[in-house]
Amino acid sequence: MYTLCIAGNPNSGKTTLFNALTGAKQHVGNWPGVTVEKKEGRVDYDGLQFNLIDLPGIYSLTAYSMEEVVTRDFILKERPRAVINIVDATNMERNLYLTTQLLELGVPLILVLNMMDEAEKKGLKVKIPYLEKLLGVPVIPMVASRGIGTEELLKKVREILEGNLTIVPRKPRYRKEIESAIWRVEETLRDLLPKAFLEKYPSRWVALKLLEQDEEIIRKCRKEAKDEAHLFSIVNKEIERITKILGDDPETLIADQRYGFASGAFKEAVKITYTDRISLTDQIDKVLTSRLFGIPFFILIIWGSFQLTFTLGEIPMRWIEAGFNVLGDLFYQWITVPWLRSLVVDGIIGGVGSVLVFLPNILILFLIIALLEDTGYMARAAFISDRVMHFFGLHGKSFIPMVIGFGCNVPAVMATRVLENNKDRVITILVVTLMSCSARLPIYVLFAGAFFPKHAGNVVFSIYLLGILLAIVMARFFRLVLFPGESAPFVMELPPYRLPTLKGLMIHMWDRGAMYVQKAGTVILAGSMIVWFLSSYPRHITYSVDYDRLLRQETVRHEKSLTEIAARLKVPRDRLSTFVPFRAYEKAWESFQAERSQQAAKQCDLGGLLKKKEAVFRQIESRYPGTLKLYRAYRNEVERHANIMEELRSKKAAEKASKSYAGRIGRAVAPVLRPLGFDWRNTIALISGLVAKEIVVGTMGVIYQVGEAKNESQKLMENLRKHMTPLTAYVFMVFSLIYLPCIATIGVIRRELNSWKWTLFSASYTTVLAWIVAFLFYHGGRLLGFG
Amino acid sequence: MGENHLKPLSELLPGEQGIIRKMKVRGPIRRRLMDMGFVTGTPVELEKEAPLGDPVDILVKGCHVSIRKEEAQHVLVEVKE
Repeated sequence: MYTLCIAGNPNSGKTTLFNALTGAKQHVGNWPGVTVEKKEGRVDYDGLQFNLIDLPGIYSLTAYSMEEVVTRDFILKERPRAVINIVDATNMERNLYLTTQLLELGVPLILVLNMMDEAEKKGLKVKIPYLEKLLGVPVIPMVASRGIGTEELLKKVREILEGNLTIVPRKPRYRKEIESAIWRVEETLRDLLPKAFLEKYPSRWVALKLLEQDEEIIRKCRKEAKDEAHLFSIVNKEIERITKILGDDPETLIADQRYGFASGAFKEAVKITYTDRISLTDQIDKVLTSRLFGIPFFILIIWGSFQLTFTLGEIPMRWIEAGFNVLGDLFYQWITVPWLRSLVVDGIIGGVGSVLVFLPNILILFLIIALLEDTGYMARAAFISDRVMHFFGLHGKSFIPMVIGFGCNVPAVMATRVLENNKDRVITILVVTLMSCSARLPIYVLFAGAFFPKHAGNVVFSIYLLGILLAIVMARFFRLVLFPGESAPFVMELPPYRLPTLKGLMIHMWDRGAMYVQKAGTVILAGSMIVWFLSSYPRHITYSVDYDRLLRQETVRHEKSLTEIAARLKVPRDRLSTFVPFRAYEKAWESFQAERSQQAAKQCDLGGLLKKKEAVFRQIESRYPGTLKLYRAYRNEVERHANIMEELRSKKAAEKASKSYAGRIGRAVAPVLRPLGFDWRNTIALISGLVAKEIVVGTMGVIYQVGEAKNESQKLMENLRKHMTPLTAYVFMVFSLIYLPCIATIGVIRRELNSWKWTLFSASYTTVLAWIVAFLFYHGGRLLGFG
Repeated sequence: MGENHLKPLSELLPGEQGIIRKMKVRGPIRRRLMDMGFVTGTPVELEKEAPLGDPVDILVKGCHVSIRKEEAQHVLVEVKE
């Protein structure tokens, strides 16, 4: 099957055309070895079938970015049957600069003039046949967003594929000094480079690139040339000669002349019938990027995106959680083998659930990002925030991922795709995990509530602030240490505002969702299973006390007491709970309890309520004499029994947790965290937080033997206060903020950076940083007399 | 011809126009700027500054391109009267 590709500037409508031609039959992956996205699709049109590749959006074919290198390597090595070069007709002169370079590659080219409707509105009239003659390639006017012109394009493709049309692109000519230099270098190349190499890379093009001092081609020639010293002495001589005669280096001169060719073609083939007044884009920008309204609008849009993602996303998130709970319960009843039940319910269903629960957030977020990108606002957001972000060693486009990080680090890492420069991306991903995500909030709420009840809000805020400060410090640090001396220039087009197509938005959203589930999902699932295994195995442990026996004994004792009460009332034991007077007492008791909990909030007088309850009790007693005393005994017994069972079960669970593999690891690791004032309990909780930080609070509950009491959080706070000081509590919050995000984030980082090295670096640096900062806080705090 | 009558692009006032006369930018960004249309002889206009004063929005060859002042300062232009 033949392969064709689409190449063009960013914002020229490349992807819109790709979507129009391939429909849903597309596949998104990565170019081998780099993180540049590769989109592939199948076109099936009236018996005509071919593969289509959507090349990344580029401005030029130099070696400036990975995208450019990927594009030219693909065209030269894979030799597609034709390159469809899409050009923004409203912006032809600049777009044709890339076209001149594509012509130089000598591959069959079809020029597509997109957005012809807008160009006509702007008063541009293109003489198509004339342009075809000037460039030597077919030219097709198009409005890709409305499907106008795609049919003509496919007809042209059919002619080429069926061999009825041969295209000989006209290569631009340079001034004679440069042409003669090209000629001399070419001669040398033919002698020194292997035939196979020159079949792939045309000699004229290689000569041009050598004169332009293109690092990639220089590297390739050094490897391939028979006598590289001779080759480069010729090249350098020519460069020197041109620089001396023409007063500028060949790279600049060649670029100048390409622009000359582009604007020449533009001026000859395009008639400007009238000049546009102020465009709509300029009018919108008068508000959206103005000194006065620019920042308020920016904040409003960021805030709105954040709100939509997390508040709207919460609704389907709850459905998913509920759905998985139901599913878990179902399997819990179906499966009777305990270990299999735990594996399926806690391991598999719990694990899959933890992957899918983020999906609504991710879909909504990427719909919003696609909307911001396709309309053109994203570039404005970067334009506005670059001043601040640059100060931190980041890029304007880092801002949005950083904000999203406060909601959830997983979509935040994925959102860094808007950054073109890989170094910016790596740094942003490394620091984005320091943005305190919403899963960490329950930890702060618990500890701040337990230890700083009067200043809880300020304490939690200080943790968020610490995260931001650390992100700034670390971003600057990484910029200096990891990528020293490398500038991260900010040259970015502010494209015209455009209405996005629904199809484009949907495809974009779907791609991201599918990618998340497929790739990140596997890592997250595997991680969750491992942690499930560690915390529920070994299955059989020897307890210090035989809890099961104690539980059984307690049940027997309880049964005996109730039987006694029943005997004294002369009712059968099994009728005790439905005994009419008892039901009356119970009803009064329950309504007293309900009123008490209501009034507790309002701090009304309890004595009054108690008196009321006692009056009702006496009323019942007068109706059924002799029952009140026995009811009280019954009530006490029931409560006592519940408490004892609860305590035994919690103790058992706590011992199980501490003796599981996770617990053993916790105890083994505990010495490492001891200098921070943490004991083994804190350590186990932190280890469980590797899966998801939400779990930390739950684990705390298990370890501190709270069990499932009704006033769980109150009791947990009490127990925490027994074991920790306000200082260690604060240090624990600090550590929770910084150390390794969750497995989900790690999975996504691995997926996005396509590198285990950076993934491991991210996981380890955050943990080391957490230790250092926690250490400073702990010992600093002690020196200042806290704790 | 000296550079005395030339002015760094970063020092244009919003709305002011000029013609690029000298590209003193070095390194990979020079190539990037050329790819975006910054070549000698090209008319440019400083459209506006970002709300916080940096970067600036330059109109070149019909496109709006945003660059930082630290880079714009090495693009020398002849101010159009």
